[in-house]
This record gives sequence, C-alpha cells and structure tokens, in this order.
Amino acid sequence: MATPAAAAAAPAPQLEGDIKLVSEDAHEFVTPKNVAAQCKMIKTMLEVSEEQEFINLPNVKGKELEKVIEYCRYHVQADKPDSGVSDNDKKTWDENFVKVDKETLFNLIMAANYLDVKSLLDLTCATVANMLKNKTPEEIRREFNIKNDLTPEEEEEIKRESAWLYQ
Amino acid sequence: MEVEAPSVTITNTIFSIQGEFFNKLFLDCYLPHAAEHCIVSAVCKEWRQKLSQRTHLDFSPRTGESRPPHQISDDCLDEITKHLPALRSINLTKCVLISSRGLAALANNSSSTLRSLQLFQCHQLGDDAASHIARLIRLEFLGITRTRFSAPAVATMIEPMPDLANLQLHGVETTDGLLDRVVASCPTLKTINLTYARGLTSPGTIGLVTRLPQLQDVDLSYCDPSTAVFEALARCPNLTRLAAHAASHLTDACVMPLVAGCPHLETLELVGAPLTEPALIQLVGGLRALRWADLRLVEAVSDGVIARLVAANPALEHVALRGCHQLTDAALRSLAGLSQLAHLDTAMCLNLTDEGMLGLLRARRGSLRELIVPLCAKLTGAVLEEAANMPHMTNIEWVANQAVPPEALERMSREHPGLRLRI
Repeated sequence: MATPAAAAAAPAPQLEGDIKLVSEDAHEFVTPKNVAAQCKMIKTMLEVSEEQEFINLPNVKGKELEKVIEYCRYHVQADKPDSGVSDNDKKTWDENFVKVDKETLFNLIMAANYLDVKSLLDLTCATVANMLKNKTPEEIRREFNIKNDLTPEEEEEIKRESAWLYQ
Repeated sequence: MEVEAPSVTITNTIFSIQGEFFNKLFLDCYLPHAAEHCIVSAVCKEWRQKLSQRTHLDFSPRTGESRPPHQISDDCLDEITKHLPALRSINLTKCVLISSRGLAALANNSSSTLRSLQLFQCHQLGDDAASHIARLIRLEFLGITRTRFSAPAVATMIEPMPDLANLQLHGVETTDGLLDRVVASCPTLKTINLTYARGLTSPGTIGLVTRLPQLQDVDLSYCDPSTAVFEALARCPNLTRLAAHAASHLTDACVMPLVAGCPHLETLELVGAPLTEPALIQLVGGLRALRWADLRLVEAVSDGVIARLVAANPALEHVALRGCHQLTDAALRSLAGLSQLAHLDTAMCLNLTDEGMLGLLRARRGSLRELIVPLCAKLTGAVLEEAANMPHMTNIEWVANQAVPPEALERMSREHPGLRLRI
C-alpha cells in the first residue's frame, strides 16, 4: 500500500488562478486552483468549466474545509520533485496534521471521501485504524464512547469466536 | 455552482460509519488480521453486523512473526466462519491446531462462497481432511504447501474443483497418477507450484505441462527437471513464469527452445543453473518481455550477459545476481539503464565498487525500492548513505561490507524510520 504522502504525489494539474470554495456554514476560502484540484471532485468540476469563480460545498464545514485546503496546499509544494522535503519530513507533517480531536478526524474522513482526496482518506482512515489496534472491545467502547448493545446471545457467540485470542 | 450531497453520512455517534468508510476501515486494508476482526466485531451490534460482510480472513503470522501469536482452534474457526456468509478467501498459514474437524466446519459454513484456501504448514492436517476440502468445489486457489497429504488424498480433494486455476503443491508427495488427475480435474489450471515435490518423474511432468494449454506459471524448483521437461516447457505458448532453482540438468541445449517457444516469459528464475556464458547470452538476449530475472549463483553470468539482458529486456524491475562473482562495475553501468528497476540483489559480488554502485543509485533514484548488497566488501558507507536517501527505498541489506560509523547509522535510522536496514 502506498503511503499517504506517496499517494499524494500525483502531478498537479496545470490550472491557473484562484477559485472560491464555499463551505456549508458559508465560510469562503480563496484557493489556488491547482491546490483545490488535489480534490478530485473539484478537479473534475474545473475541467468541465474552468471559468467558474466559486464552488459551493454544502456538505463540508468551514473548519474541515480549511484543514483539507491546508493538507492540499502542503502536499502540492512538498511533493514537487525539487521541493527538498524528505519523505520523513512529509510523514512527520502528516502525523501532526491528524493530531486532532475525534470529531474533527471523522469529519475529515467525511470531507476527504466527499471531495475525493485519496491520500487524505488513507491517512485519516489509517489513523482511526491505529486507534483501534491492540485494544479490547471494552477499551474501544470507552475510547469512542460506544454503547454495548449486544444481546446476551451475541455476547455468547463472541465468547466462542474469540476464545482462541485469550488462551 | 452546487454539488450533489454525498451518498454517505455519519449518523448518531461519530463512529456510525457507513459504506465506503467502513469498507476502508475494517474490510480492506487497515485491520486485515483475523484477531483484529474478532476484537472489532465484538464492540457493538452495528459493527458486528457490518463485519459479517467480510470476504477475507487472514490467520497467518504477521511480518516478523515466525508463527501466529494466537492459534485458532477448530471450534473458533467454526464459530467465526459461521457468521461470515460472504467469505471468499481464508489463509490458515501455520495454524497448527487446525485439524480435519476445522476443515469440516469450514466446508459446512463456506463451501458455496470460498474461492481461496491457503493451508501452508498446517501440520495437524492429514488425509482425513481431504474429503472436507473436496466439498469446497468453487475453489480457484488451493495451497497445501508443506502439509502431510498423500498423493491419493490430493487427487481426491481436487477432483470436484473444475475452476481451480492455482494449485500449490510445494513439498507434497507427487506421483504421476496425481499429475494425471490434475490434468483431468483442472483443465483450466494456470499456475502450478511443484517445488520440492517428492516423487516427481519426467514423464509425469511432461504429461502435465503438455496437456494443460493454459499454464502460465510453473515452478519446478528443487525437482531437478530433465532436459526433456525443459523441452516440453518450451512448448507452453502461454508461459509467463518459469522457476527452476537448482536445476542441475539444465543444459545449454535447453535454452534455444525456451527462447523460441516462450515469447511471453516475464519471470525467469534459474538459481544455480549450470549454463555456459554463450548459452546465457542466447537465453537472456532472446527473451524480450522479462520483468523479473533471478540468476543468483549462476556462475557464468558475466558483464556481457548483463549487457545483453538489459538491452533485450528494458522493462526489467527485479534483478537478482547474488553470488555472480564475475560481475564488475560494467554490469552496474548496464543495469543503470533499466528505468523501472525496483529490486537489485548483488550480494556476494566482490568486484563491485562505490563508483559503479553510486552511478546506478543516482540513475535509478526514482525507481529503486530494495537493495541487497551483503558481502560486497568494497562498498563503503557512501553507498549506504546514498541508498538510504533514495525517495522510494524501503529495504537495504548491508552485511559484512565496509564499516559504517554508528552515529551515521543512528542518523539514517532517525531520518528514515520507514526504512528496513539490515546491517
């Protein structure tokens, strides 16, 4: 599997000028088109009509849209062959980028999926997966405030399925 | 301009994930192991329900483990697979507690869906499991590598599997009778691995390769196939991979039929082949589609052979030349021309110097991912430094070369945490 940083290394499209991105909660972000085009969904729209001046994104809040733009802006620069930014530096930057509260992380997953930024979706999903590893079901429930709604029968089934992990 | 609402939404709790997100998180790549599957599916009803869509279960050891830390039992395998109605693939590598009873349960629960079964080193399994495996009639991949099944038991299990495309019999007792049954039962077989197959004869092998016209991938390593077998292989028009490590009967006379008869060969593995230099030049110069060349310990490999190999096969990605002691920097200069070179093994090539290796590394900075150079005694830390700084490098083996200062090693480890460095 490609690392998020490597996956983000797709060549930037040759787009000039800026585009205004408008979030669900009416925040406006004037962004270089080549940065915005890291979101495949936006790239497709720009290819259809380069002349448009703004795009409404009614399913992404301003807080997350700002983060997505920050991610794209960094990788457009850092992924250039002559950027001088090492893979290690990019990895560190990505790790710091996803040090956010859980709600923001999940909203970022949503935004990355909606805007079609594969490398960001990989990064955020991997972050959540890492939060689940090496924990018991009870620890996961506590960590994510999940209610145990399993029936006694299901609990019994799970005990039988998981016995091998506790021998 | 407005865009359509996303098809996926988060509801109620932040962890109520649907569709693509869930697949990405739990079913695809991030939590692939069966142990994680069991833990995560025990969290809540919704997760349990969603994980029941899982199609692949992997019980094998993870990287760095010699065997799985937790051993699945027959009963647990039954319970788990009972709740996976879409299971298509299961890997039971080194699951040493699984017996015939576990396979019976697997057949009961998954016979209509399972396409792939890997039973590498499942030592509990014996011939009594064959009838249960035979119920998995939709298998396309069956790996029974290093198991104790007898040839008649293998014949029984594959008989009702007409869709079988890949059969791995590494280290399994193999008779001519079994090979006849393979031909009769699996007419569309594309891949067969007979490495260390005990009891293999030339007539049996020739009968197999000549009667399976769709064969693409044949591994006869450590079976010492005869010249006649190579001639038969040269008549497999669809062959894309041929592996015959330690083939002491491979003669120069075998080479030309392979060149003429296997134009699509992409992978050639002839570790330790006793060919002469002119024959090697004819072989590697005659093939045009190679992407993978494993010529480790082939003594006659020279700079001239490598020049021909590179000129004729510019799409090579993997080149293994361990122990080809004649090679000099001239070979590295040739290899530097392979624009897609990702893996290079020149271990034990004592004549290679920094000049040649640095030239190759600089030329292949954008492609090389793995460099195996133990016992290249003239190589210094400059090569290691250059390799470690390559953007896609993931693995370097560097043993018994010129000493590298500990502080330099420490810095490389710190700067490249994802790099596997064996010193």
